[in-house]
Amino acid sequence: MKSEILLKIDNCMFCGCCEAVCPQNCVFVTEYSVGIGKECTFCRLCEKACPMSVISYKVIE
Amino acid sequence: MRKLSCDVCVVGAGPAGSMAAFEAAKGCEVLVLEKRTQIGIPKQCGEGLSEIVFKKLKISLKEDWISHRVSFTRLISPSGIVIDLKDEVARKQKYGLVLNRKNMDKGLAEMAADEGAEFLLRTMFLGAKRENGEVRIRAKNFSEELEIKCKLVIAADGVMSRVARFFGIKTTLPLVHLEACVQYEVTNFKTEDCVEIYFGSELAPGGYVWIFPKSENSANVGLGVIPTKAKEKPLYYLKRFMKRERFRNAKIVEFNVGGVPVSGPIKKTYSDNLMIAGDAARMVNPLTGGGIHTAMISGTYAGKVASKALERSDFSEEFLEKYQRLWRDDFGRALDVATKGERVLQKLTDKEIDEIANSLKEMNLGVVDTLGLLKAIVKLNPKLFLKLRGLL
Repeated sequence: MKSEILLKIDNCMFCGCCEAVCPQNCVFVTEYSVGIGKECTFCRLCEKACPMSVISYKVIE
Repeated sequence: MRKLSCDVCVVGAGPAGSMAAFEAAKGCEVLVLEKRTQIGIPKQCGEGLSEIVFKKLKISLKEDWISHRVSFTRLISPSGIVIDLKDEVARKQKYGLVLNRKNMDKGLAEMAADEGAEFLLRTMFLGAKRENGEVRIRAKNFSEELEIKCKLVIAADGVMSRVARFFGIKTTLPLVHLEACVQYEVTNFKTEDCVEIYFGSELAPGGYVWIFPKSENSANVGLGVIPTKAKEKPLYYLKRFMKRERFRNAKIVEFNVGGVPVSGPIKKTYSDNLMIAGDAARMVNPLTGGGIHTAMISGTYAGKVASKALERSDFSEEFLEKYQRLWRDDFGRALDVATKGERVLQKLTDKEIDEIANSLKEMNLGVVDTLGLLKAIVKLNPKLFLKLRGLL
């Protein structure tokens, strides 16, 4: 099963909740951007932690 | 790539980082990396604090760091039972002041700068490695890559806490220990002369709603929820709370979002060439969500130990362990008790919180300490013994 990550960056307040809970250390929040590294295992913890519904995951196959 | 060097590199210019830089700069060359362009902005805080911490750290409290003063704390149970913590109890509360964090954070950074600390803004920490007893940090200042050679790193990089992970210290926060918080700064409504705390699983699952008055007609109104307990995102609950009649004419003038770690402090807050302070070390009172005072105190200890380490040229974890002893002796036990308290609170139902509130109402809150209070609650509600025994 493959997933893709969707970022609604316009909603992001760059609070860092996603980065705090990422067990792979692959979420990077800067002052005005969010990046998710290729080490992502699609555990979806960042999606649950995000207060602003910025991150979502979509199963693509 | 630009190459820089210093004795102590502090990552993060919040209260922990600036206090660490302020103390360390008295005896060391200090460089502070801050990822944002403006210190103290955006505000990610309810802004409640006691004056005690300023007296303790001998910092003169500037008037423009204070937005408002409140006399007591009001707790409101899920069914609306009101408990006012006044008198002796109120004096022990940590929320006498409602701060202007934007001014205070900048003011603390200015204090550190006046001692000689250098600040690099818009500078992202990218990574670090130990080499021959020193540390090489990779960072990015705007678009320019930096390599910073230093002897000691103080990680004060907040809830996301990336720095410690590069030194092998696991700071990943379990989802059940993250309070996801949202807050409006609201004007044009009448505030009370108190901090108001509302409990209830419908209001804020796993957390609470707060109102911290910033003036007689403005306040920080916010809430935190535990994502694993909440069916909706926190903003849903805040919008619902704001529909109350008292906010009918209120206007929102600011919106803040942040995460509060409620895990209790991490076990080890030091390693070779590293100390971890403030939110990065999870030094937040899990019951109240308050972490400014512990950030300032731990930062101060980290800065002092950094100066001593430089004097002795000893940056080993054996020496830096002193830092952990200092903050543990100071507020470690209080955080441990609060962590237990939060675990208990998480297990209580709304009905049980109401029962406790009823018991509190019958007591003279001015004359009992916390343990006495708990014992009295259990006496009045024997069935709560099993849930509260961890605190007795």
